[in-house]
Amino acid sequence: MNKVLVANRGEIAVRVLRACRELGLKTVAVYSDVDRKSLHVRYADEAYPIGPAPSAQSYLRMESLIEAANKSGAEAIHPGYGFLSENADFAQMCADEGILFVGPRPDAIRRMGDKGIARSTMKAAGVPVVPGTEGLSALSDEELLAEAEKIGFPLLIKAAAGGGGKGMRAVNNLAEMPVAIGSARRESKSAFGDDNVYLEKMIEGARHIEVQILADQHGNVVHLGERECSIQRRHQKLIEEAPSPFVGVDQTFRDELCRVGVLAAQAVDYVNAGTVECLVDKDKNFYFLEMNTRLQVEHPVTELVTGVDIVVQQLRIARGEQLSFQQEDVAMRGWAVECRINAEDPFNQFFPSTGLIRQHDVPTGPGVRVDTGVFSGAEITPYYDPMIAKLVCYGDKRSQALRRMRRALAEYHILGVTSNIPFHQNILQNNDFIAGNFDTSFVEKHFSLDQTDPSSQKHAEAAAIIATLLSHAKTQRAARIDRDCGERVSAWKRARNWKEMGR
Amino acid sequence: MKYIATINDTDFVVELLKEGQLTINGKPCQVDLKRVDNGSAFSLVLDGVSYAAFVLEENGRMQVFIDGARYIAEVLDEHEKLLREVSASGAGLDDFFQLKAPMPGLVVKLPVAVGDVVSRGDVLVILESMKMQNELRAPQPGVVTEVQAVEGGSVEKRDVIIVLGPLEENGD
Repeated sequence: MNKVLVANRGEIAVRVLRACRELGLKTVAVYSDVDRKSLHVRYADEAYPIGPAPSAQSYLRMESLIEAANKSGAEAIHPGYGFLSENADFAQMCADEGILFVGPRPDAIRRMGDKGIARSTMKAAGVPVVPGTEGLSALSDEELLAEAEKIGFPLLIKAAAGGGGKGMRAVNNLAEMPVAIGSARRESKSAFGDDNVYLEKMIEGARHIEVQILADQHGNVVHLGERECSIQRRHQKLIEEAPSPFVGVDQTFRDELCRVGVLAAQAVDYVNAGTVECLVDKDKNFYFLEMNTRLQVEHPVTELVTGVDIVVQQLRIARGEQLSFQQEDVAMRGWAVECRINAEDPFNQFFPSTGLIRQHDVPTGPGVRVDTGVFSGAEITPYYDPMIAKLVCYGDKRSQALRRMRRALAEYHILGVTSNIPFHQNILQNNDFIAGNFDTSFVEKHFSLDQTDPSSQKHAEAAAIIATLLSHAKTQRAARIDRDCGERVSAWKRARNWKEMGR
Repeated sequence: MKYIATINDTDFVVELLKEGQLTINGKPCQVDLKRVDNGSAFSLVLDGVSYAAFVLEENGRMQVFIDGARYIAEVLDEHEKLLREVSASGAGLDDFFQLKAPMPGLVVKLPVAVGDVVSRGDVLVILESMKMQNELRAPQPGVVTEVQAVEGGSVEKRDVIIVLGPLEENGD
């Protein structure tokens, strides 16, 4: 394996390309028409166009990706996350073409991919699951309504092919079911090309905690500890951390959670990096939610506390190497927090924001990592995910990591598109968040951004001065051009004047 | 030279005296503003206090960013301000509301038609963008007077999708 094609875009394509470069592997990028100028295209050794902007015609087109791999001579394809990363047919197609798929075998993807089958497999392996429609698949609307009554409300409708909260709907009573089923099916169809959904009882006050798994092709399975991902909005994670403040110093609980994570992976003969997601209630009961059979967005927090480069491990595993360490060599040290920086407006229902990024100054300094695919001059299009960067901070203790995150958020300047940085700043100041008291309903319950908050306008006077000086300079310049046409004005005389301000 | 700078609806009277000196709402200040890169970054030192600011100008509108907060600015000199106030007292279209697309997207559903009476919070359109379905709701009660999009069609940012008119008040 000497050359790797990265079948993705944005920050994750860059992340994977970096790991390849560190391992001395040649790299191949692919791009849709609107991504021609993207960072991942410039970063890679080779780049191939794969079609128009809509992902169904480019990043999801298996034939185009295989063709690019064959043309470039890439021996392996890394799918990143999203797109084809959890598509068993694509993994199979790679195998048929003699290309290494950097991920699990098609069979494991399939067994974990249909969430209904996954739940029954887990149950059989002794992994606790959330009560719901496990064991049933391809349910009709009528069957869903009947099952819903058996499970009881509130419950969740979820996309069978799902992930990332897409196609998921919370339902409080039977009357809400038909509309919710319809919209969940539509969203699932458009995101995954499959409109099957299943039901799950809603665990109230639950936390979302997940276990990072690494497994090689020689039967070695280790975990890299847990991540806390309860800060979500509409089931989309926004802030993640490692370790989980809820697990905290309870090492027995951590060991049990992680042991079950390993058990879940072993139940499907899992290979490569994967994540076992669990719901944990306030009494520390935990239930298997799903396994993400791919690299996870929030993998950096685990990398920072364990010192393991997960993407490098993925590539090593794919080329058949044994894991170079064992479970007892893995230790979590310190604390890491990640904020997902999205192009969306927290003051306006988190609507996606598109356009040209005019300025992109990323934070730096001790304990700060930024994974991004954007830059000043990059265009945010409506075709793909709104996440533009991941800001990750590390500290000795949770309190230090949070202090660094506050400092880094203030250093982060994105102009041209609206970002959710004010959302993160708001959460990072919340006392319950700081104390570690939160569950998955935290954002819906506690978050409100008030733009009329007087403290958010404390620099209005400075802004007024800047705006006045700049528009004064502009009118003076315009006047000077008029005047210069008629008479010669001493440049010397002009030089030290108000109009030079801000030029 | 005297200007009126309006920041998010609050007026500030800024009078430029000589190099480095001005008054804001009558209060004298020492000021030094420098552009620090080829883009939009500025450094303001105001009576010894240092501000890192960014300024964007788009469609004649100036936006100043300080500490992550956005200040929408409009600057007029005294005469322009006076003219503006005289002409602004015309009839308002206040009772009408135009629902504009906040982003480009696909119109998934249009549950209302011309003539429908809607309440505040009713869903007017479901728009799909960035793989997410977003419900756009009525910010005020009204009657649908225009529908300018179709289900399955696409809209560009700022396209008008629906117009709401005032409710008839002679319902009794």
